[in-house]
Amino acid sequence: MGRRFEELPNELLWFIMEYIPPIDLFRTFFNLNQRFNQIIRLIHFRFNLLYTNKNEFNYFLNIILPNIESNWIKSYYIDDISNRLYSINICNNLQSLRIYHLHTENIDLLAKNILPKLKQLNYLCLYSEFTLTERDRNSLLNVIFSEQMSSLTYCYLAFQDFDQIRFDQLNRINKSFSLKTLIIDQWCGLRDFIQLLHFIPNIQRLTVRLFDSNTKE
Amino acid sequence: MKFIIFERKIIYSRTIIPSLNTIDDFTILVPHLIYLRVKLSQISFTNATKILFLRLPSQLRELSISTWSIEYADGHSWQTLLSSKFPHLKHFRLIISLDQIPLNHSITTNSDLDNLVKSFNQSKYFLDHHWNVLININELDRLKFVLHTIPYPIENFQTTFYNIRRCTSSSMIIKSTYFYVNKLSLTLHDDLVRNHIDDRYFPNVNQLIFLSNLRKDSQQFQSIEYFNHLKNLINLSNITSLNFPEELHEYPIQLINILLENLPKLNSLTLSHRLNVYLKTQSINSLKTLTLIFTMYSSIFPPATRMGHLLLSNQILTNELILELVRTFSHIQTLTLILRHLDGFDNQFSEWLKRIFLNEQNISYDLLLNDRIVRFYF
Repeated sequence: MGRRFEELPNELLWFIMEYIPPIDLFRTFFNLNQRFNQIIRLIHFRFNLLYTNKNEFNYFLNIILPNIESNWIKSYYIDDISNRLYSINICNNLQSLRIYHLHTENIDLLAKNILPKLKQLNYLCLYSEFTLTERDRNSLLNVIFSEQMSSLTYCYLAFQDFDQIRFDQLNRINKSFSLKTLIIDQWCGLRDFIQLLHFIPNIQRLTVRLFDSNTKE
Repeated sequence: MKFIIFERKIIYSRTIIPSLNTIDDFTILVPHLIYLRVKLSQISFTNATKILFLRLPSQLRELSISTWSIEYADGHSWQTLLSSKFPHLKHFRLIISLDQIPLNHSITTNSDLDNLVKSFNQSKYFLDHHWNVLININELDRLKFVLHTIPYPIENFQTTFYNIRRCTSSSMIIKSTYFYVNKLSLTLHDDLVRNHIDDRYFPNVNQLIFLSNLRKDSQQFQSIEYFNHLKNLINLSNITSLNFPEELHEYPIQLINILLENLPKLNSLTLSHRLNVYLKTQSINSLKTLTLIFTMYSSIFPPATRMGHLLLSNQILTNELILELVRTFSHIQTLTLILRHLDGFDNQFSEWLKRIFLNEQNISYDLLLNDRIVRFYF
């Protein structure tokens, strides 16, 4: 059976391997022979690193990353634990990024050093069940609603749900012309809702939570 | 303080923020908007119509509303608004969830319930568009009254078993209504019904959350019987996350143990440490993340505060217990310890963590002081 698999043409192997979870793929095929290494190197990887323990994550950092073309990584799902977010910086051509358990200590890193570099990113989901400050939200939104993220078409922000999000302290010269879908899973006042619309002139699909700012404070 | 915040907002509204009254048509701002999904809180239907719905672009294709007000249950008002303002609307979705039965609404008989939804389910406009609604009523649940369009439109759903009364609907429709639900919250209560028949089915749940209204001794709860109903109601094979979040409420241990043995894809469990001590260890060995809830932290036991003496030892997180938990669960990916209700972590604790786990044991952790959470990664 192994021999038959090897007889398949490169293009087909490449196609099949893109469907195998990357860590499993590496553990099974890496260093089997030069040909497999060459094929693996050029896969459009989609890394789902959620529920990855320290050993697996170290395997990803030390074995997988040095042996693939990191510019070909298309999609990256990661938990904001320890210093893992730094690894996003290796993938410059990411199209899709999901971060879970985002916490306040890493917002500056994300807003200033990670997101602005992802020029190809069109899909972004940020999840946080922890307390974020208004400053945290503003620094993220100032990047997301700007031309620094000129490819971003889909954005999902699921922050701690009993908190309130505002848009009145954002840099008003910014707008996102690319954003088509926006989901903000946090309460916002009606007045702030109008503010929000100013930043997303090309929006097609919008999901928000609204309360009457004059009654709920 | 409230007054100052309010004043600041008024000043903004005069100087920077365009007043709600100056932009009559949001088409100027978002001309391409075709889909709006919105949760509305503390906004009357009349107000929402005036300041939101009537300002939306008329080419809207989908409008989804979730609210906590019975005012939105009038099909005639919706018909007037939707038919005049949104001629291209393809999807209209509505959820009304109430934690009290509305005082002036009679819900005693099935025909009362049919009457309540008559303005939707007997209207030619809504029938032509297939925008029918369903009501679920159960006085023992947290949400006692839920009216929603069919199918139930969003991922989150909160309900309970037994004694649910509905308006007239076919069992086939009820069975297929909850296809999109992937986060299901169930309220446990004492009133178990034998030979229970429920037409609902939840095929795609991956997060299962239990709330508890149990008043009697939770260990007398008919766990096996309940589980047998549960497995007919939910496809258990997709559940990855199981949550018993109410630290001070009672949960039946037997039910938790049965669930742990019957959820093949489970990788995340949240419950109070008070319950955790009674779990069968082999069933939590395959978890990837475990979250334990405590009432308070005290570096030593018994705690120095008077309140601490009223608590059970397994409600209090101590340094010694942390060392033991880290040793026990070092085979999983993440161990999260959360404090609720009383004293949080302090700087002394932060120093202790650094000394023991960073310097001596080389174990990574995050201490989130504001959230009163410490997370260990293995």
